[in-house]
Amino acid sequence: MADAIVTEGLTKAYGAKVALAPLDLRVAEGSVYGFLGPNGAGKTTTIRLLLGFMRADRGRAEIFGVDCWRAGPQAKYEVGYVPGDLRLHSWMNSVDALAVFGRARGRDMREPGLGLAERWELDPRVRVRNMSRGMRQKLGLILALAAEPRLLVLDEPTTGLDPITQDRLTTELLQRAARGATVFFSSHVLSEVEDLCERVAILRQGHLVAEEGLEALRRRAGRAVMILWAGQPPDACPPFLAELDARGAEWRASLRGPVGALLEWLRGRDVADLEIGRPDLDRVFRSYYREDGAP
Amino acid sequence: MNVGLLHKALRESAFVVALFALGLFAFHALLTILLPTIFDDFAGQLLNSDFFRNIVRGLLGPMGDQMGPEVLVALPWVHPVILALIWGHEIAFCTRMPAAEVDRGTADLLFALPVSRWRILTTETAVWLGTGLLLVAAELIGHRLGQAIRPSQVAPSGERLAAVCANQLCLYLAVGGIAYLVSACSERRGRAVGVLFALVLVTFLWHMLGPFWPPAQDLRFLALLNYYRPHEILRSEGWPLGDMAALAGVGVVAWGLAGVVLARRDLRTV
Repeated sequence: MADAIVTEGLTKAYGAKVALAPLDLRVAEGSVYGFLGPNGAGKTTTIRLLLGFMRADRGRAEIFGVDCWRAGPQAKYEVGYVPGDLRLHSWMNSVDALAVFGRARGRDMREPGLGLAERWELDPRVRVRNMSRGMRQKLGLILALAAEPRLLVLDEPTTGLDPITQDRLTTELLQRAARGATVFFSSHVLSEVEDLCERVAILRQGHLVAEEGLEALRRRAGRAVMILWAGQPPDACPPFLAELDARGAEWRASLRGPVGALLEWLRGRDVADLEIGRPDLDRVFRSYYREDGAP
Repeated sequence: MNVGLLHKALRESAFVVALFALGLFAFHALLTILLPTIFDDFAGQLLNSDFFRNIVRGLLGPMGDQMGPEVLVALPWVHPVILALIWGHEIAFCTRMPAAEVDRGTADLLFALPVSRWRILTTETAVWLGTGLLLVAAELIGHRLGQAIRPSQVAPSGERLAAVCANQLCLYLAVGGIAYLVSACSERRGRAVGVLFALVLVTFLWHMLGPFWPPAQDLRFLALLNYYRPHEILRSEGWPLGDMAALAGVGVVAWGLAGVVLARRDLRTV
């Protein structure tokens, strides 16, 4: 499959501060790609370089094989973008915005845009100056989606959205991906990426610290386990239970490895209750975010 | 040009431009009606006052000792309020993009469009030039109305008035070109407006200072207003092609530099 986004040695510094160390990324067309990192990690800088807002100090960035800086307009033709700090022109309402941006793009965005507005319960006659933050965010998303782009670049797009609209957005993005669109989803909130993305890149202080499929991460991630012993707890803890927190008859630990090993070990022991959680990706991400960063 | 962005620029500026045009029309008409009346009543006192004569020379440029009736026709075209209205409009309009767009954060949506920065600038420039024509036309209509109500001793021909308007449009081009350049270098609209306000104030005061202070007179060629001379145009028969070329040259070079800066600069979040 072709790549929607390619960066090679992409580097950017603001004065003495390195915002982005050489970054190599490949985002396959049709995938939903999570771009994670704490605040100031370089996510927005990467996106601004992709959209041709800034010139890289070194390296290159391409969208569908087109250089983002040298051929900016051509590269952006197939891109729908929602900025992290979305600001819209205050005089516009949804109808105006769809007309202006549709004409600017040379596409009719009114019909698909107004359809989305209706589904997402956004009154198209309300002017931006009278909109709540969530309403503005909905309009920003509608403007990005209504052009039916092949690539959606979304920088923390759920900011200000209520949970119902977040769910609707997730459904919409998955449907788009199923139709072949690529979604580049930047966030520092793991849960929204977990439900949506197939593959993630994790950035910390401008460096790419991990880039792999969510399934692989899940396999490596521990599961939160709670064992409530009916009788006396065992004297020793098996090696696949890490970070044991034993409080009397209740043990809490992180299971490293297959569930079968734990069940085998528990066979014949006097257990009153057992809880095995989903793979604890949050812990993996937090470990990547830390200074000494490896899970 | 881009049709969508043209529509946006027109929507955003139409109301304010209409107000400026109305102001210019009304003020120019008022000056054309009132100045001859004031002059008739106070001619003796005014013409004997060196200060008044120097003020008029500061506004209209060197004119010798004779102050003819053309002075009253030329004064409205260089009146500080008229210049303030035109330059105020220019500073407000030309700092809309990119300075104001970057400042309020809407630049992210604008520059994410598949439209080159040069094309965005060209579209904005087309509207700015159109509004310039509108404002000068409003002045001209105001002048004509004033002349119809209170005819002056000399009624300038249509060609003379056209030459004055053309000279003023070139001044408009020069100030706007510089305004776009400052805007292209700025991330804060307030800062860009401040710099431009200081620039036009300095050029105006420098020009005004000439008759009062000889060293300023020697360096008057540095002031843009030195190349805008309605009084001389009304007295002569030719077109001020040299002045127009100087002003248009400044405008075009500044605008071109603005385009280069805009096309090459980083657009960061403020």
